[in-house]
Amino acid sequence: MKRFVRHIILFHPLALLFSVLMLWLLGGTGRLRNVSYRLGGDDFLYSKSREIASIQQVDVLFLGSSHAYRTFDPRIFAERGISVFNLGSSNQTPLQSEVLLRQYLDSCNPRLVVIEVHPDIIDYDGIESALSLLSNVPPSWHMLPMALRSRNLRVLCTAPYAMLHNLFSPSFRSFDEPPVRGVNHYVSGGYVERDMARYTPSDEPPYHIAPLPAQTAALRRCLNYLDSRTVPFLLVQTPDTRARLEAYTNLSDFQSLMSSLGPFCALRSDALVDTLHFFDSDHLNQRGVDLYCSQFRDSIIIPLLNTL
Amino acid sequence: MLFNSLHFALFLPVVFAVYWLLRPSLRSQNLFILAASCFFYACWDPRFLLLIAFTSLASYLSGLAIHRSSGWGRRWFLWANVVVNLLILCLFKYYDFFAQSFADLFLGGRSDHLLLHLVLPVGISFYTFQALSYSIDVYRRSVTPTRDPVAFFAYVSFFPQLVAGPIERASSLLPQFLAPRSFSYPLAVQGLRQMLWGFFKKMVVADSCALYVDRVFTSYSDCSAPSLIIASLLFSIQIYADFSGYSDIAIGCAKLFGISLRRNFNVPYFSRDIAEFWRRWHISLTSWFRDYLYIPLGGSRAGRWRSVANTFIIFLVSGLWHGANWTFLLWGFYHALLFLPLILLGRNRRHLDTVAPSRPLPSLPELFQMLLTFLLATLGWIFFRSPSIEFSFSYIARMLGMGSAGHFLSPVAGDHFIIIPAIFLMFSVEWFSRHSSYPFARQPRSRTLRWVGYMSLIFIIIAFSQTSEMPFIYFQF
Repeated sequence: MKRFVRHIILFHPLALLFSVLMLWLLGGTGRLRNVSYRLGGDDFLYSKSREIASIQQVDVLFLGSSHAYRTFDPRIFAERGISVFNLGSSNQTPLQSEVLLRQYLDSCNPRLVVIEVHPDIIDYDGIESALSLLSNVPPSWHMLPMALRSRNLRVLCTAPYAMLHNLFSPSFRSFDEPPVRGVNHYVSGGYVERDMARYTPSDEPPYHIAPLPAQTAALRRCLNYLDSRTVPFLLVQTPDTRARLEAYTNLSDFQSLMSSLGPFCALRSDALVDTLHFFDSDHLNQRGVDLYCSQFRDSIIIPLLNTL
Repeated sequence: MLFNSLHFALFLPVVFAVYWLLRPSLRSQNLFILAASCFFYACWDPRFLLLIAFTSLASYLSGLAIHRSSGWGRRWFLWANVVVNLLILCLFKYYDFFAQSFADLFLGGRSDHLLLHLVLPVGISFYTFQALSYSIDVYRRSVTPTRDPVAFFAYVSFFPQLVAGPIERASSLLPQFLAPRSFSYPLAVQGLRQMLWGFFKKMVVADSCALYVDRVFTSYSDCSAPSLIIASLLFSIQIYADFSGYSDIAIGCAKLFGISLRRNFNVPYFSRDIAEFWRRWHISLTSWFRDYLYIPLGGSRAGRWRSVANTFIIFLVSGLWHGANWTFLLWGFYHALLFLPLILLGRNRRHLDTVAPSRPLPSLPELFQMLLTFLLATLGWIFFRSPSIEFSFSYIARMLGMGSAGHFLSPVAGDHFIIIPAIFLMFSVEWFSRHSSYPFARQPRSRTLRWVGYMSLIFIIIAFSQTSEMPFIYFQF
């Protein structure tokens, strides 16, 4: 039995090392089903990670999903002299926000952190976002717990490949992400502006929000981390169309949960019209962003910053 | 709890460690393995534990009663147990099927008031047959009934083979629960090796084939004839890799606990005729039907026509055992038809040895025979995979080019890239170890080479398996 246990203990780390090495060597061939590495994307996360590395201080740091990076426009905040950086990425869940927060909080030294929380994201496993983060952000140790917590083979296989590749390969450092990608334009400060489009109303099926325990736990860890660094934070739910809001069967439960975690804001102006200010059921178009963002800046952010 | 799940990866080492820590006490080991098996099964549906408990208790008591009785009493207790177990099996598995068929025939399909819509308990066909074999063997006096209920319950519910076999006989498995077990390093290593091979077959070969097969079978009317042919060939390989992979994991897992289970597959796709195929495919079920149905019916010794009739009975029952659907009956009937010329010509026991016994490669006639047998089996699997008989004939018609042209789905592009190399690796390894007791038995002497081989296989599994847990095909039976 001792021999068996000794061999098992010896074999496992060797097998792990061997697999990591093979993933690193063969991951770039594009043939391994469970390695999903893609540099660049509609969220311009690569450009954001490059830009934020050069920033020493911002007033507000935004984290969250596409609702964050398509809503909080740095140009509107700059009109009042507020510097912001938007680190939102596609389908970013609290599991990925936690990584970005730990990686960039100290370097960009924000006075306030705004974490966007959305009913559609809190019950999402975050696999797509994890893969995007691994591919586009310089590697850090914080990525490993995220990969393990995902319990997804594709994330677990992509993590070693992406981290080693991004650490050693010059192609990662020299990648030049074009600022325009289809209808999406990268705006300095982490914002992504979309060509003007309007929402065409359609039937929204009833949607029951079921927060995943892993995501609420990750959100709690983010907030605890911010508390430990004495950085104030705000949880924000960005506007949805009225059609979408009515489709949620338990929105009040979701909002109660968020309120119980910390300061929470779900600002939605009556002036927002579904067919004028949105390009789909849960994303504002640029006209909506101009309207909402200036109101959010004046009524929420400026008073908050003044108290700090 | 699936073998290919994270839960099982945590469950197995814990059970293994505690089991061997309890080693001096056989009773504690059996009690623990019984508790672990109950937990394993309860992960699917704890309600059905009562059903296993009832089946086990009925068989345990009937075994003792048969042993103590004589004359009609023996027969009465045997039949009581057989009828009770088969009634439970029929109620859960076949009642709705026969009720629906009755309604279709006589009530114009109106069956709402007749159907029970019962959930099929996982593994019911397997553990019911295992429990039945015990009481029949006690009746035949080939097994002495045990008085140890813990050992007996552990025998019926032993978790590696509880949900999809191999269907064990009391004469081989029960004594292993009654005798002290000591840890054997070679057996445990063999077990891990066999499990690794099983995981490769299931998670890489079977699940990769499943991607292609499911896409074609769900939209076969949009696919071209070559796609349908490829899908049916790949389903043959999928079902083999899936079920024999499961059996390898189960047998390997049992070896970790010092318990040997019978071989369930013996390279069936290297068979030279359909009779040989059935001696090598799902051996534990085939031999169950042979010993408890075919031979009692007279087998092949009651004249040629009686033998033919018995063969048809066996294959039809075997088809029905797989599932409550006319497609399974048709599949059984098809195999009986393939068997018919071999029986009539007295050539059903022509190939008792393994192909090319003293040569590395088969001769051309052998290769032709193997390919023909594989293709005949493949045609049968179309009935097995189809949801209805109409579907299967429509599929075959399109496959033969009767129908509008559809699109071709490449089996080598995109996510399907691994299918061909994985199949090649599987059949190569199994060909060169076809004379061994299990497919991955032949190993290089050098430990470094062996370990590099294991690590490579682990890497292939990690890099190419599906991200979601894919259930084993035979769990539905």
